[in-house]
Amino acid sequence: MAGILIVDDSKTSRKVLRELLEDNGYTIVGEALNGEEAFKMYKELRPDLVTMDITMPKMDGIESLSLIRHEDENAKVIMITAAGQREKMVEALKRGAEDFLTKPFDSDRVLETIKEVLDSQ
Amino acid sequence: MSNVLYQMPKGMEGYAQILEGAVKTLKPYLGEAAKVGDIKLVNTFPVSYGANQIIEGEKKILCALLEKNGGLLFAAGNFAGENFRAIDEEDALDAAGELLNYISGSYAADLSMNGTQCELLPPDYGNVDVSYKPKQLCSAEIRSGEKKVDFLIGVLS
Repeated sequence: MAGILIVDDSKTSRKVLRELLEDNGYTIVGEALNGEEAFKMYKELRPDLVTMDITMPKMDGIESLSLIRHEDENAKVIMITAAGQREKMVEALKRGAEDFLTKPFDSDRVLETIKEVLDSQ
Repeated sequence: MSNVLYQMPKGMEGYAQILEGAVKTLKPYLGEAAKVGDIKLVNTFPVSYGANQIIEGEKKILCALLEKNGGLLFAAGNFAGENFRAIDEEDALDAAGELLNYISGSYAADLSMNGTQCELLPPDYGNVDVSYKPKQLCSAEIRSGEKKVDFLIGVLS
């Protein structure tokens, strides 16, 4: 099953996502707390997919997305943020994000989006 | 925008929507009976643990979710699926911060539907930074039975 790197500064949010994904057969290869850590872990772990929170201290998700896509143009990154951040989402999609999810998580939508992105070429 | 029911203090009428979002967000975790109690203007930040977050848009607003009578500890524990012992535990505050992030996101989504964009800064935990000097500060009690939290809305600029 695909290996996923979860990036979110909130431990609670990481836990919610980890439990949902593990319950559905995915392997969580790592958890990063900010964009900088995510970039380092991406290079080391080469996950099949990254779920990337946008609003994080130190380095936000959009900057980290750019670094990851520069490192690997085939990287699959799904952006995550609280509702109402449309401009940020548009910016992330321009920078190569595959899709986005909003908090609070809708479990069905999360699983559907992850499957679609992993199945895409 | 949906109709809002709360009698906001003078000068804070435009922020009823965010209070409504707070009640809706907290209901599953504080109790389905959750409702707004006292709403009042205050001069200073209460000294209490919780989470706070800045929303930057046409105005800069600070929102905070603060402990009162164990209500935030209860809600944060239910939200995270954990049995936190005290609200000053880092994981409990993290859960409170994420709850607040959902409230702010709901408000940002409402604004966005009306053509106004805003940015949410990462939530902060602990006590509210008292160096903030809001032009107006409103405190609303949200309660379900004996479980209570204080929700603050401060207009910073």
